[in-house]
This record gives sequence, C-alpha cells and structure tokens, in this order.
Amino acid sequence: MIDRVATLGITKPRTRSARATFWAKFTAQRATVIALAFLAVLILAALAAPLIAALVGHGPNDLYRTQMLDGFGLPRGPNGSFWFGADSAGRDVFIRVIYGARVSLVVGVVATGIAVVVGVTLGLIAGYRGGIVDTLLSRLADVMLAMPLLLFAIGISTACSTTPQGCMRGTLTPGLNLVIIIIAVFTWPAMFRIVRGTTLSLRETDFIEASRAIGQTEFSIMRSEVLPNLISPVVVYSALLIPQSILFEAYLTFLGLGIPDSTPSWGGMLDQASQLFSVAWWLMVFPGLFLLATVLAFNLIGDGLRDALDPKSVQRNTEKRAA
Amino acid sequence: MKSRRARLTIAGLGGLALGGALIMSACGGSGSSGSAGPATKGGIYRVAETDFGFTDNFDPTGEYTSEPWAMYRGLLIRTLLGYRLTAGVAGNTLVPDLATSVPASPDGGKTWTFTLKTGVRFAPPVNRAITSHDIVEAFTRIDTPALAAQYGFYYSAIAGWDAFAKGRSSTISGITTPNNQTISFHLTTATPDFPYRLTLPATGPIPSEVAKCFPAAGTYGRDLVASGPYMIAGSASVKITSCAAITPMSGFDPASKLILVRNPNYAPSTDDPTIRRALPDGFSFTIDTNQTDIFNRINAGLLDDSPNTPPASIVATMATNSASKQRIRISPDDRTSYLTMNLATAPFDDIHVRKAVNLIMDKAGLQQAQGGPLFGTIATHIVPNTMFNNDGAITGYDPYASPSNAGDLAAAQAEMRLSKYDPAHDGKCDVASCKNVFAIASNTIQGANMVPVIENSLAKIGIALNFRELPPGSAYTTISTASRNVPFASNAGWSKDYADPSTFMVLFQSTSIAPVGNINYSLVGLTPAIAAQIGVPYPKGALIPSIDAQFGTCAQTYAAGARQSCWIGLDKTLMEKVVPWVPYLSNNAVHITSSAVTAWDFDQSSGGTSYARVAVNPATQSH
Repeated sequence: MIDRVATLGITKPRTRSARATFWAKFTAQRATVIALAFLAVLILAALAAPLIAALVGHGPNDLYRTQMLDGFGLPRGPNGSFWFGADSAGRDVFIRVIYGARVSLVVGVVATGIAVVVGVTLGLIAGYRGGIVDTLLSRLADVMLAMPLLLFAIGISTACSTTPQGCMRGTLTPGLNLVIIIIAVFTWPAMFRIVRGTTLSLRETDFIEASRAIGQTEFSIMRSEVLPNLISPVVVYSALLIPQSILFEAYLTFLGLGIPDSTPSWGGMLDQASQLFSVAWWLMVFPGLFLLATVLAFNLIGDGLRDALDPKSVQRNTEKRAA
Repeated sequence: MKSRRARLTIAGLGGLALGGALIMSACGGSGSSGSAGPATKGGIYRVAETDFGFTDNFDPTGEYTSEPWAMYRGLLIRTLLGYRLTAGVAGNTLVPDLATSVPASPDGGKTWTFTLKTGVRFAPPVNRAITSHDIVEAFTRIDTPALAAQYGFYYSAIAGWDAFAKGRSSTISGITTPNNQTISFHLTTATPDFPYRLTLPATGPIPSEVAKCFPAAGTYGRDLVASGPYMIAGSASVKITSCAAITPMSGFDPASKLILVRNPNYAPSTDDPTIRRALPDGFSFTIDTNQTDIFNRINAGLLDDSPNTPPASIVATMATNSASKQRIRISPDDRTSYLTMNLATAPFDDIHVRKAVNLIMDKAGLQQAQGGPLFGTIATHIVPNTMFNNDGAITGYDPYASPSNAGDLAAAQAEMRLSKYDPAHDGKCDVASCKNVFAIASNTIQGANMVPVIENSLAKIGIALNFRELPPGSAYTTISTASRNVPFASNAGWSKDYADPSTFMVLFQSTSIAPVGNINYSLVGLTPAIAAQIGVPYPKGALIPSIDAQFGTCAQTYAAGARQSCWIGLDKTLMEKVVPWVPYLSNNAVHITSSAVTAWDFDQSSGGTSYARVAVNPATQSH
C-alpha cells in the first residue's frame, strides 16, 4: 500500500525522544558541557587517587619534612616533584587535593542524597495529604530552617569530640559520617518545601482527580502520578544542593569541626592555609581553586538541567532571540 | 627507596640542626641590648597581648599564669625572697627581696624565720611601711577558700593551715610575728624548698586596710596596692577612708588595659638595683585580639613587646634580615612539652608499649612542627636541665636516643616484641586495642602539624591513633577531666612554679589525681580506690607504678646536693621504670621586640620578659 502521506509530498516530521531532546538541550550550552567534563575528570581523579599517589610516589599522609619544610617548619612551594608544594606538615598538597576531592564528592552526593530522600518523601506526604499532617511536617521544617545551623553544628561536633565514644552511645562520632548527618539534617527542609509546594498544585489537577475516580490508592497516586512530575524540580534542585553541601563541609572542617586532619579535605586544607597565607600562598590557592571550580561546575550543571527540563525554556530562548 | 629516604632524612636533619644553630646565634638573646642606643631611664614600655589570661582578675592570691607573675615580680609586688629576674640558671637563684637574707632552717626545714628590711613602703593610697603582718594577711587570703587561691597546697604544711581554712581558728597558728620586722613559719613536715614557695606572688604583702574590703575572689586586683617600683595608674586618687569610698584604680580595665606608673614610695636603696633596674617611666599593657597585628605593630615601632609567641612565619621573615633578627629574643624556658600516655588504658598499660613509643617517636619532626630549633631543643627527660643547674649527672641523659632524634625502628620493635600486645612477636602491636586508640590534640597549627608526625611514628609499631583536634582550652579541659580516661594526648606541657624540681615531679604524685583539674594525666600511682573515686575502671591484672615514696624522700631531703641527686634519680626512674611521657621539647620562649628597645632580659623565674630589666628609647618609638 502506498503511503498516502508520502504520495501527497508531505514528509513525516522527525520526532526525537524526550531523552534525546533533553540531551540536545543540555549539551547545547558550552558552559554546562565544560562543567560536566570537569566533574568527570575530577571524579575519575578522585577514584584513581591511590593510583595517582602511587605514580607520584607520595601518599596523602607521607611526610617530607627534610625536603619540603624549612628550618622554621614552614612549607616550601611548588617544584618539579611537588607540583602544588607542601603543607605545613610536609605533605604533598597535590596528592591531598586529589584525595580531598573524594571527601567533597562523597559529602556532596551522600548528604544531598539523604536530604533529597527525606525532603521528597515528607514533602510528598505533606503536600498530598494536607491537613494536620501537612501542618506538623511544615512546622518541623520551619523549626529546622530557623535553627542556627552553624552553632548547632559546632555544639554537636564539640560535644562529641571529647570522649572516645562520641555522643549518644557512639551513634555520633566526629568525622565524615557526622558531617554528612549534620548537612542532611539541615538541608532536607529546603527540598521539602519545593516538593510540598509542587505537590499541592499537582493534587488539584484533572489527571489526579481522574486517578482518584478510578479508585487508585493514595500511595499509588503519589508514587505513579505525582512523583514522576516532581522529577524535574527535584533533579534541578539536587544539583544545586550538592555544591552547598560541599561548601558546608568546607566550613565545618575550616572551623575544625569536620573531617580529621588525616583525611585530606579541601576545607581542612583551607583552614591551615588561613594561618600561613602570607608565607605559603599555594596552601590556599590550589584547594581553593578546586573548591571553586567544583562548586561552579555543579551550579552550571544545575542551571543546565533546569533549562533542559523546563519546557518553557525553548520558548523563552526563542522569544529572546526574536527580541 | 625506603632506605634512600631514610638517609635523606638523617642528612636533612643534620642540616636543619646546623641551620637552627646558625639562626639562633644570629638572634638577640637574653640580657642583650638593642640597636637604639644605651639603656637609659625614661619612656613608656608598650606591651600588647591577645588576652591578659588572668585567672583571678589580677588578684595575686589567685593568679596562676606566667605573664601576671612577670608583671608582679618585676614591677608591682615584692616578696620575702625573690630571684635575680634574669635568664638561665642565674635566674633561678634565690635572693632576698623584702627579707634581709635567705635563711637556713635550724631543724631541717620545719622552721623558717625571716627578718624584713626597713624602709620598704606600700605605694599610694596606703603609703605606710610594710610589716610582717602584711605578709600574714597574704597568707590568710591564700587560706580563705572564698578567695580561690590557685596554689594554696604549697603551704598546707604550715601548722594550723587546715584549721584556719575550715574556720576552726581565727589565725594560722604556724605563722608568728614576734615584731613588725620578723615573721616565722612553723611547718608540720620538713619542707626544704619552702623558701622557694615564698617567691610566689600570692605571698607578697597585702595591706589589710584595703584587702578587707575585697572578701570575694577576683576583686582586689582592681585596687592592688603595689610594693614594687611601679603601681597601677590612678592609685594615688583612690580613697581608702572606708570600703565604700574605694573605687577601681583608673589605670586598670581587665578588658582592655593595665597602665603602670612609678611608685613614688619605692626606695631603690631597699632593693638590689642590679636586679630591678626600673628604667622606663611607665608600662602600658593592652589587649589586641589580632596576634598578627600585634607583631606588625611591634615591627612598625608602635609597640615594644608581647608575651604572645610570634608565629614561625613572622620569625622566619625577620630572621632573613640582619637588622630585624637582632630583635628576635630566644630564651630557654623551664618548660617541657610532652606526649602523655595513660597507664590505665590499653595498650599503654604495658610498659613495653610505652618504651616502644618513646623509641619510635620522631622527636625531630615534632620539634619542626613546633617551629624548629628556635622554638626549643629536643627534650630527653622530664625536668629541664636548667632546673638541675645543668648538672652533669643529667645533661646528656637520653634513655631513648635515636639517630637524629627521628626514631629508632629496630629498637622500638625489639621493645614491642616484649609486650603482651604483640602476640605474633613481629615488633608490631597486633591486637584490637591498638587500633582506633582515642587521642587528643590541640587544633592550633603547631598541634595539627604534630598529628601526622605522631601517627606516622606509631603506625610503625602497629598503633593506630584516632586523634580529635580540639581548641586549646577544650583540649586541656578534656585531658584534665580524669573520668574521660584519655589514652593519649599531644597537647600537654608543663612549666615550673618555682625553681625546684619538685614542681615538675608533683605531676606524678597519686595525690595529684583529681576528678576535675587533674594534672597527673598519665594516672601514675592510680590505685583501685582512686580509680573508683574518679570514675575510671582500674585495668584488670595491671600494676600501675607509684613514685609517691621516692617523691616523699626527695621532697624532705634538706641538703642541696643530695636533694638535687634525689630528684635526678627520680627523673631517671620516671623515664625508665614508669615511662608516662614522651618528653619531646624543652621549650624556648621567643619574643620579638621593637627597635626602640635598648635593654631586654628574660625572667627565668616567670618565663616571660623581665620587665624590671628592660629599657626603651622614646626618641625612636613610633606613635
């Protein structure tokens, strides 16, 4: 049978899948692509940190006192063997920056992941159920947002640092896990608010009414009807939460409350740098640059995701070009 | 690769030591003059510090830190006995101050009688001669619990001490004053170092007509009546007709400033002018919370001195300039910095582990972490050599010597093989109690730099530490709270109270173990009864050594030579048979002065600037 459309001389429009459309829009922005490439390299470097250390011949906690510290115990700057110089204990800053990426990425991703799971779950329930459940959960989120985050973190970290057992019978001990918990506890309300607000508007839409009419359970509606429509804002906001978490870890460690010194982290390195900047610029420049670049990269990717997932963005761009 | 690195380390350390020696030789030392001309009278000596650090608001009864002691001794308070207020062994020599001489005890240290000089008067507003009753007033204040004396335990051997403290007596029966110029102390036990205890500032004369108006701790300091060459500015304006009339002296604000001017009643003829030169017309002590700013202002000539230790970065910059390095003042202090091991916790309840830790420790690395050789020499035993008058029986003593002080792996592993914690006899601790060992460090840059050095050293013998880095105050509180039972700490250091080794050895007495404010961090001499009292478990099967008996013997030895030998013996016992510490640094005090300073000295007794012996040239000061 002859294709009627073809015989009429009309070509069938080429349609792209949603994924292809997303990818095309996402990669159309050069800054996003560069950010993605940077993060890919950073993740690879972080994963391969032990290999890089073996190739260079310097471990993250190996001390090179006689080579890299002067008679006053002050560190020496970059050279052929120590590309980023040494820190005040005589350790290779390049290797510690690479290892530090591990901490930043783990904290950023895991803390954000916990915050997203908690925020989305509670936001979905509050927004969909409304009533007393919404009121209670919203007030809980308000309380969390009203708490002096840094003071609370300082209090917990300090109180849990003075005994071998930490706090709460060993549940909270200083270090990476505590930092992740603190960050997650204080960032889920932001995600909660976004999800709750979107769910509130979604539950009044016709397709949700239709689902109720055909007898779907609340859980089923939340899971299969509301949640898929939240993916776009959740993904975009998650990408923006990751750099916030990375910065927050840096703040905590900068204040001496986060990751112990034996685990390299950018915040810890910047803390040390602040006391020696006048004689050792490299201590601040290299971890600072990596922290800046990583946070910037996540922010650019977040912007890229928002543009790619927002159906109005094409229209806006078109209007912008026309104007 | 490993052996090459080891050789590099040794060679590098040799260079480092040589470099340090060269730097030190080029710096201005104690007792030196500046380049601003001869030391003459006049000018204001300007000092700034990040915090006064007063423990009792400048009330001498309760002040227990070195800087106020340096102010009191050099400028404000005269005591029955004193020191030469200079650096080194000479600075630890007892001299008479208010007393006419350093007496001998007729009964081996149980009775001490002093005759006061005539013509010594209190500064305004009191303006009268100092008598023996003013010394008694100081002791009654020390023995009044409400006044929170910090070191009253040094005088508890005085007869009637407890009775007065508990209100059972209105006087301390063991202190008698036959007349205005004589005072006798009658002790219940022989205390040969009692004269040294009378150099402490809390024992200086206090006029009861003023002090009676300050019955609470931390209040008399605002109206401290001087007996030395200077007084607090505004002293003369204070009315003492009644307690209600007394107002705070205008020259002192604990939050910002302490201004001292000349005491018009000070008679140099009653003092030794070779000790208290009293050249500046006044002193200005101010607070600047920005340490970097303080040293920048000193270098700009806007300040003259600071008791704060300058950062290594500033010292390093100054040391590269031939003019500025003359202004770096390096003075060996009577202070030992040490790592402490808790004898009541595994794995440090085994002496072989403690010895292995001493043998493996990279002390040169710890020295470098503290700022290098300028900031101290490697310590090899407990008490600084100057406290033993550099006695040949202890100088050079190093029971855990290692090449270049970088640790001796073979010797450490050989010692570890003797330990119950090395069942495999491979020279490494093999059991779980050597992993994740809780440890406390200070989070200062020096403290943080020490952590990897210690971790790397102990890892070689199989001990993995779990360091918590805390602000200095929190770190100190944590290790001095006995119930925390901290196994290992790197933030400890001790300075003498007076020039007798007993003030170091007291750290190891079982009586020094206390639930709060504990100074015996290693819990040497812990018994099951004390353990129950402070809330720590007594390790099963352990026998924690005690030095109480040997301490008692030394403390009651009267003859100076025998006494010193006894303390030296106890130091060696501690290092070889108890092993509670890894002493790693005999600290130097590092000061930076302005180019206007024409004379400067170190007060060995207080561990700070000898303010009685400084001078400035006001013409070269910046304003």
